[in-house]
Amino acid sequence: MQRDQKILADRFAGYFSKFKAQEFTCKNIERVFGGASRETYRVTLMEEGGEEIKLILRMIQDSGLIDTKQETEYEAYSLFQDSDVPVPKVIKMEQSKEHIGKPFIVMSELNGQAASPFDKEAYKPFQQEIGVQFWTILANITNFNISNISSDSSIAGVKGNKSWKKELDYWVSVIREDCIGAEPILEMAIRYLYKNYPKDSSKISLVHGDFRSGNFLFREEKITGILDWEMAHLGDPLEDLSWALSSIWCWEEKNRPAYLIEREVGIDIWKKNTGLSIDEESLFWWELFSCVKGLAIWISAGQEFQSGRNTDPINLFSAWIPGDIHSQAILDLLETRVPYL
Amino acid sequence: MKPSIDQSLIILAKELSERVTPLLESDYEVSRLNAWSALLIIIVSVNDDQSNYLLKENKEIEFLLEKYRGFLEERSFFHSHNPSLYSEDKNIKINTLKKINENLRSCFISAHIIFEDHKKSEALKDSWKVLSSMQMNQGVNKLIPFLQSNND
Repeated sequence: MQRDQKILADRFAGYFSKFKAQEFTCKNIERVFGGASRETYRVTLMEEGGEEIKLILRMIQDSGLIDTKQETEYEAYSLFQDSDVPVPKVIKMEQSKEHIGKPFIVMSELNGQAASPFDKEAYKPFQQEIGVQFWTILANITNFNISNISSDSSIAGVKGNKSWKKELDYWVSVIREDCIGAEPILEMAIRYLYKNYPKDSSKISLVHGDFRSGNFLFREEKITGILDWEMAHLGDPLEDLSWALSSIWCWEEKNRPAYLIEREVGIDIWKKNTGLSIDEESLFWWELFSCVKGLAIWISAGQEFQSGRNTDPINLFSAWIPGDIHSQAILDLLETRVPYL
Repeated sequence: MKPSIDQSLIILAKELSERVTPLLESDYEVSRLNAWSALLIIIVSVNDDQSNYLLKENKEIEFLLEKYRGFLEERSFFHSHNPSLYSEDKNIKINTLKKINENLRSCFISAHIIFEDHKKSEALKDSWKVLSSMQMNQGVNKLIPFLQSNND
């Protein structure tokens, strides 16, 4: 165990012992690689009597990739406890830095592994089984009853059915703030989105915000947990659907989103389980929006890296490769729509 | 002739992943260092072509702006944009080419907006060609194999 991790482990064990009014010692702590918005650790604590508990500790980064609140993530996990959307059991959120140096949330560790979203073989040989669950769970999120989400919740925000504008304005503001250079392809997409906006949302639902391959745990043929809810909000369900469909997550087999099952089959599962119909032009808008949102995230990563605030290589990788892919995806989408070609 | 910078960087990447990584205990640090090794190889694969691509893109944008100079002039484009800014720098340093490119890209975005606003279809077709070429030069397809070796 490295020295700084040993200090963190001792402080966390001390905190947890106080919280549970029972003595715990830290048997192991290891940082999880990947993801740039939080520092995530796997922690194994030993109870006084000898029982082991496995936890996930998610700490706010000094320099997070995009501005997300930990209460959003914690609240989203809390909403789906013991539901048809599998999530880890939430244990505690601390907003203060006094306990371990940074605000954090604690959850139970789930069985299962997360795959790279760029690995087309990741779910083999269970693409079919996992694919059906992937789209069914997304439908379950869309179906979630939002009437109990209070207006002052960090998940709430959108009022009325013009969520497209709120989301587009937000991500464009991220681009304006973080962009390192001029991006003509991205700018063309932004102009297109503002000029050709979608129909009003037929339904406002809970939107995960980053529902895609790589953001869930699976064990053999079963999805065991949906993770990374820090961008959850109320909005148009097509936002999640189009993000999950985005070609970046299936670049080498574009008709098999998330490298699971065929696009049309996945969409049908989602439609059947939500009872919602899809306006094709609106879906197109949201798919193009996904590219802009993606580029905002990758640009933000590049800015973090270049400024020296967060030199995690994941930020450099994100700025280079996913950024290029989403630019290509913009051209692929717009090629079917611009009238002069 | 001295060993090339590219070759040296590839060897550094291999040394990092084969000799340094095994010395690390933490899985996190191993993954992080492996990611750096992969990124070094990407740098090498794109670096040699970069000046070529920048020169090509700069020429394409300059050509487009020149082709529609009259149309753009009528719309006072050149009052607020100077495509030849920095072009007196005759060296071929990548940073110089990038500085010129940054200015030309900004000019291109503004010209593209004017073409769209006036539905000037021939200019829009030409702009699309510049955009496609710009994207092709970024080399996204040749970088795909690197996706396999990087975790989320």
